Amino acid sequence: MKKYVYIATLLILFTMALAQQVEVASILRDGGFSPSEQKVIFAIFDDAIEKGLSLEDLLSILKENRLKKNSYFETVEALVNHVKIQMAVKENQFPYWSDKNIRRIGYYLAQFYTFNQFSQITGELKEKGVKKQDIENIFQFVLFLNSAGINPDDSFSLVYLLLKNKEVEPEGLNAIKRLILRSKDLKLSQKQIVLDICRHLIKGIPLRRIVVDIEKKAQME
Amino acid sequence: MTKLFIRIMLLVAFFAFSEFIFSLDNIFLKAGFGVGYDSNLLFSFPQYNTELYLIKFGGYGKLGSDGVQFIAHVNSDSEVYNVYYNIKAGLGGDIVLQPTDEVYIQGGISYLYMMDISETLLGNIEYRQDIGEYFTFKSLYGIENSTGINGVTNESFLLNSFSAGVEFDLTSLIEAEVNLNDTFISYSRIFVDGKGLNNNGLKALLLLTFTPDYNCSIRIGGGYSYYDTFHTNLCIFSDTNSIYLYNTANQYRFLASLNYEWSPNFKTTLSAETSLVSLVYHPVTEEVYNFMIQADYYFNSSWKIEIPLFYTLKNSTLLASFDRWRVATVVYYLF
Repeated sequence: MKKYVYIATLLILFTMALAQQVEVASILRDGGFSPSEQKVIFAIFDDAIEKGLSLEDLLSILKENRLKKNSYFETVEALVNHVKIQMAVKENQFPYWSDKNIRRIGYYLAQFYTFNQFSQITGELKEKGVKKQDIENIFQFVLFLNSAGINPDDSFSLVYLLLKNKEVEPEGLNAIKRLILRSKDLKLSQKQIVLDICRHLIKGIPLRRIVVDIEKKAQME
Repeated sequence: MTKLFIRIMLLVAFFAFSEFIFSLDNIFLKAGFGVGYDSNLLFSFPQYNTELYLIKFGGYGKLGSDGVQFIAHVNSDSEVYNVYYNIKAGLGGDIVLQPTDEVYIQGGISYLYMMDISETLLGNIEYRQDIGEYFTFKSLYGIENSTGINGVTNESFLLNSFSAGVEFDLTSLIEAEVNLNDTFISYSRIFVDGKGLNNNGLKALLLLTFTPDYNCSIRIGGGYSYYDTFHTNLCIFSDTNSIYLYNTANQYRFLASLNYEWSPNFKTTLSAETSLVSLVYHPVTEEVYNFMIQADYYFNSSWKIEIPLFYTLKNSTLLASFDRWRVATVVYYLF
């Protein structure tokens, strides 16, 4: 009797797996992907499911890409990105995860920065016990840097060093925004301002002093 | 005719130099247009008031790395009044050397032209060194050769100026700056008893900058200057502030300013300054009070508006006291 239960269970599981495979395969075929391309996508699915990610999310991404008639590369990028973000937030245990807004921020940061960068930022957030409100401020700050055209690597260096030096009060972040917004008036490029601040933060110089020095030096020239 | 020729040549040089700046690595340009009002344009009595139209242009280019930098700059400042206009323009170049993080050396030369007023050639060399974390030593030498009118006379002078000073942190919030300066001016067109006029000014200035927060800084300062003129019997009835340059005089200065940042886009600056001059060999005193309020608003990183308001009051034993105020709104495009 037990034997039959095992066989039945196995059969059901096999059919389910097959059904998934069939569903993925049908979407892939309709998407006009070549067999070798399909193999890669299957591999991504297998890997993701092994890591415990939801199949439904992956399927919906695949369907969405097909509807948009996205290319193979765009589709793979979307899938890998999804896996990366999910794994990043899962493995790093982003703080205050139960808060809906914080979750949104976590997902954004995981997408914006590389896996390593995101891990380091999350590590600092947890280690320094950064408050919920401060995380929201940092998020706004990252958005500002992004819209000002600061590349993700420079943005990461700045945010990471600010966290490491515990310089996350909104007044300080506003002062950096002010420098970047007025960069042309200070006769400095925005990148140069970010790198200047980083260079001094590494030495452990207080942010307040860095801001005063940059403004003073700009007046001098 | 030659005057016109010189002006055209200057204009050509100005644009050629601007072109050169355009070709550099890091270029910052600022162009502005503004309107305003001045209650006493010539800063004299009787008063002549006028509307103002301001046209401003500045160019700044950098070439090189952090260790060695070449800087070229031009600027022009034109003002159109009811019945007159005035152009100031300057161009120059600097070399900045930063052999280590602690040392800053700058050398530069520039030329300044003020239409119908003066032409000046300036040179300067500056040395700054950080000693430890909270102490900065600085010294400056400047030389200036100018020809033109100033106040009531035609002048040519050669000016040599030496400064030395220190900046240090009194506390984490208060920075102090002490500056000593000696300025020696020799005039080549003013003669007293067949001898050229020389003036040596010794100045000391103490400044305290209090930065209680990221968005606020307060500066107060005071200074004393002693002007020693080699021929003391000369007293020019000048209606400019330079009366003491021709006489042996004591001058006391007090200044205070407040800079407040309301947001990353908006700041205001408030400043006040008093200068008290008394001649040593003549019963003449002069007091000048300056007030300034300025609002700066950044719409974005390219557009900016500045609204400065100046007020000056002068009391003098030589002339009736008079005042002047000037307000303007200038819109800048930064690129």
